[in-house]
Amino acid sequence: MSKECVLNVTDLECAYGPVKVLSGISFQLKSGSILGIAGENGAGKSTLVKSICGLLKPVRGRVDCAVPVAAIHQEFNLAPHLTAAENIFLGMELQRGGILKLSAMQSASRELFDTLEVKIAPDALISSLTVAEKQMVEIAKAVAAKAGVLIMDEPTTVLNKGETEKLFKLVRSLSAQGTGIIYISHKLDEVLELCDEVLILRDGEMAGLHPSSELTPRTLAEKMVGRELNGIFPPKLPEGAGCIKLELENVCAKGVENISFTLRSGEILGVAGLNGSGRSELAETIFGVRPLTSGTIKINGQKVNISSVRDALKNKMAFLTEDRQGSGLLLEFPIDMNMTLASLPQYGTKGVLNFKAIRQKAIEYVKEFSLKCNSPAQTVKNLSGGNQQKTAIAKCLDTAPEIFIFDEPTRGVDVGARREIYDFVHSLAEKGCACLLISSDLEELLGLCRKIMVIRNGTLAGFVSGEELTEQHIIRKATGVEK
Amino acid sequence: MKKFIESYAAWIALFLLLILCAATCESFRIPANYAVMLRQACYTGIIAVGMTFVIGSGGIDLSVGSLFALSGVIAFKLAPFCCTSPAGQFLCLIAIALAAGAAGGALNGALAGFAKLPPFIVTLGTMSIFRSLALYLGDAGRVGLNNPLLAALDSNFTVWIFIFAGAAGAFLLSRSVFGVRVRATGSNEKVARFSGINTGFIQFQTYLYTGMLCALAALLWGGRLGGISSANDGTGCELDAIAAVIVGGSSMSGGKATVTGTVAGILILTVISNALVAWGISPRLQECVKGAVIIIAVLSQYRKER
Repeated sequence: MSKECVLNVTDLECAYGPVKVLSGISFQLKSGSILGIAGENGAGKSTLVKSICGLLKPVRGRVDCAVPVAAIHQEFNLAPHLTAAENIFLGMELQRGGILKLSAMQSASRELFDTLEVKIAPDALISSLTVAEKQMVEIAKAVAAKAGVLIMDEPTTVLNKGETEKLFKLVRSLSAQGTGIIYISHKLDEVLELCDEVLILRDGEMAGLHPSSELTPRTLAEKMVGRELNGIFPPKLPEGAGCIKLELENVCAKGVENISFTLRSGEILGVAGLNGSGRSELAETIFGVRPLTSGTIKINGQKVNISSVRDALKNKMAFLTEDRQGSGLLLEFPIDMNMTLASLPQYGTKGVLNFKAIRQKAIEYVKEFSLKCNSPAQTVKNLSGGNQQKTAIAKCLDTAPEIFIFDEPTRGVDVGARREIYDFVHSLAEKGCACLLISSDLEELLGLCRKIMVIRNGTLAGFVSGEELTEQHIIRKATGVEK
Repeated sequence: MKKFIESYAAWIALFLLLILCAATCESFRIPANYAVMLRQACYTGIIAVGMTFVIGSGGIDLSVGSLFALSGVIAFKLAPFCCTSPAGQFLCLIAIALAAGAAGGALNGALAGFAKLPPFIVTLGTMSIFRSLALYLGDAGRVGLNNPLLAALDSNFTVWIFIFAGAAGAFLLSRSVFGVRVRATGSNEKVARFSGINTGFIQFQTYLYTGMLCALAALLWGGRLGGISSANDGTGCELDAIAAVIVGGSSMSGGKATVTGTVAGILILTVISNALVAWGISPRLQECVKGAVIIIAVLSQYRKER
């Protein structure tokens, strides 16, 4: 069975004005095959996607695609106030003379969901669906549009292990039906597991096009970065001997039930759990975003009342949120203003700001974190994910915290910057900071922490440490199989 | 160069507009008329400075015109009862007006800022409430006061107040901790909150100060005319203030805000009103042109952001 070529990219070169972002890209996507695209942030992946979708005109070369292309991005293109069926047929509504054929749309949607083996009600509002379900609606939309090429950009960042496996099954069945699939992800082991071939982009050029069988996550990472990587994680710190910095006793809040734990100075305590299990809610409660309904929080042995973010900041806490674009950074503001936003009073005399001092501090941070930018006056919006995260970290650091909560610190961050962030967490703890590390990346937790707290359904499912520090133990506690 | 044009777009537009008017109109070549135009712009201009902060923090205030009238009516009605001496009466007038403006602003701020109700709806409601109270207290007529000290609130004084308010507002919004927090709240309220900024209080303050600026404008207006008309004064002023803010380059959704832009905006609107009269265009078409200017201003803004 000869597979026909559904997408042919020849010597593609793209530029934004005078800045060349892609050059010399050539590859073919055959019907039914799964091509992975790997590359650091800023390597040109989203530019490539835009040109395949026809949204960006190449400066040179061509993109030949004989079939409809559908792209599913991290930020879903769904209308939250409409139903699943309405979203699936948005733009290609089933109608007669301008009136919607609602029952036809419903049954067609139901059929699609059956083929995809998901249980979603066609008349469910998008806003009521989980993240994984929303993704399924996006896929159903692509299938309904009879897409011959399906591009998926970071699809598993917001999925847990079970949902990821379901997605893989779905992707394989779609490819078996002849759809060409392009799969973009930072999770290199997933890319190698799912894809037949991997296209590696580095600085806008092709650093390689190899069958997955020839690659390992490490060699793939090295090709992406262009140099050898000596291990991903810094060596673990010795067992916590510092004083107890943060203590929670039977803390309850909305989405949090009866959580108690202690966190020592110099310790990196991991927080694991399924998506939606309440980890971010716990962090928000500690940080004063969410009100405490009962229980106590003690800092340095003293009971404290954290009822606002300002209380938390006064108590020397910092919180790196999981959603830097939504709750961490002001995208339209420059880098230096973002870095000092939580510590503004430091830079003002009698309420008037000293912009020179702010600029100076930003220059120091840019150097310290090797932040790639034109200048500290650059708008954060145009930075890559890794550099945005560094800006957010600098902002947290500028309040001189003694307790640092990290929520998904390496989500959407490329391999090179990831290592830098791990080194940062490590050195922070070395200096005596008490760190709470919330992450869905078990490898990350196991690589950095000696003790991991597992949350399930808003409550404590247990602690894992020492001999039990394995993926299986964490998953068992997180899913409730082993109590 | 491009950045220069972007930051001073409104002033460049004003400059070009003035050249056009001077070229086509006799009256625009008489220096004395510029003083008159400037005086006209002051009252709404003072209010628009406050509006810049409100819109900059992500809100909007439709009640400014009504509060302008109400604070003036309350002040002019109660002042005679507070003091018999002209000096005391004058001071009471100022104090009562500012207190009334602050109260109205505080009401808006409590509902839109602290209670986080949608500002458009809240101020739509207070717009009616304030006007109705003004009509009631003023018997739908004029509330006047005979006080020789009112002469001190003359046109020159008004212009100086406007210049001062504009300069202070511009400095505050761009260079103070409060100003940055206002713009941060308007840019992304969640991010501001997570950065330890009390966004409810910030927004409350913007409405409070705007209310007081409405009272200040009412004092200057009423001082010059010897009284406030409860039915007519301030009507439509909110739309002019909002238009000045937008034409000046601030963003309707908040975050991007500039007081110097607003000042240019109110001058542009004033020049246009005068130019239309000088060109002999029917006064009924005035609003037509004003509306077109607003749309053009917003078009050029959004074209940039695309």
